Amino acid sequence: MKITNVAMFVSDSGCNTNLGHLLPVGVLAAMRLKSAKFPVMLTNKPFPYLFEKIINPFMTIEVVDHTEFDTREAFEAEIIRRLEKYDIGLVVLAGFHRILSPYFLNHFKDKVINIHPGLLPSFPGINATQQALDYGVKITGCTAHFVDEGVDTGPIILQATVPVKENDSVHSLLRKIFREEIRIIFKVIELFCEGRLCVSGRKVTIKSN
Amino acid sequence: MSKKNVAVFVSGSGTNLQAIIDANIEAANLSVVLSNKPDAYALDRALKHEIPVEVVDHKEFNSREAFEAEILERLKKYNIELVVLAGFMRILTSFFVSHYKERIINLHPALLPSFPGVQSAKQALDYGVKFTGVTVHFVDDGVDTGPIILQSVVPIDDTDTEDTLLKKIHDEEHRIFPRVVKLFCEDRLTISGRIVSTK
Repeated sequence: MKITNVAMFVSDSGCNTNLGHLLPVGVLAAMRLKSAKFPVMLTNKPFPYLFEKIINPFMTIEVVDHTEFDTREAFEAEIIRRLEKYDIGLVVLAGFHRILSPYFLNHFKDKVINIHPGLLPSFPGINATQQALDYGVKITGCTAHFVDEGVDTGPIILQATVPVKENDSVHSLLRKIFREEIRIIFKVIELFCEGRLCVSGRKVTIKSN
Repeated sequence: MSKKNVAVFVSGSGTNLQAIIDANIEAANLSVVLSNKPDAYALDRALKHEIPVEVVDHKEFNSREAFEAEILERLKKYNIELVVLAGFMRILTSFFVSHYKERIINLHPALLPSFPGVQSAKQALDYGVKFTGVTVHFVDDGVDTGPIILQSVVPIDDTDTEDTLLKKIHDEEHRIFPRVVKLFCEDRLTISGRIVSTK
């Protein structure tokens, strides 16, 4: 079976919301996949010590700090350079808070997937969970989509719904969304690496095994 | 328990009106069904259940305000406490909405704020979402922007067409719309800013 090398991009390990354990759990779960390997995790912010300790035995951590670059292109050129040696076939943005330019997206054409903590097209951009609470929706969720040049606008691969309860805080809601995100990250990586995703215009369909 | 007088506004076949009738909501008195179309089948359903009907044809009025003023005039005698928009295809202005502030509810065939306006099921299919649904909300001055009371999810399958999706959405509408009418008439909804909670 063909094995795809997957690079995980993150900005926020989740530690500021006490959810830091969930992301590595999701990655470790995905590492069981036969069709995927996870040689590298890339971040634009250095990881907290504990998080680094958890991840390091399993994959290399590459830190590319965007504040050290004058332009987006220079930042992205450095990311591309750092990834060269890993022969990456899929980039998964799991809480990566930098917008990627067409320059980067063309380099990994149709191979960049983002996980968004909202039920797109509702609540794109940052603070999706806060946006959902402020709007007063009763249902939110998360979305895995291919990345195009817009912000959270690309073709949708999978979604999951999460009910909003009257006593939910941002934290309790994020917790429920994170749990679903972990589940769909795993599923999407599996489907992509097994070559089962067909994109036609904005529609993504899943081929059966 | 005192019953609340409810007006149901319709433009078409009135399947949601039928769902509300069939729910036999004890706290609701279905006082009148109002249509902007003289030939709406919903009127037949109302008459069959001996609910008074009013027809206010928007084409007979030069302005939205004149149309809405006539509706208000016709509703006067019913002492209406809740206006239910059940497939009513006219946008109501702030003139009308302010008369029934926080007493007008609308049903939208999508998970707002996604896909407001018309042809929501088609919008959802074209966008390629995997879930859509139904939203019941209080009406404010915007189009489908008011505080959300209840939402319900409808999954979209790869094989769904607009027709099959609409069927699923309508089934869900008929399930949740009467529930919201009931909650309102039992005084169990509270609005605080944009947040609607249920007692």
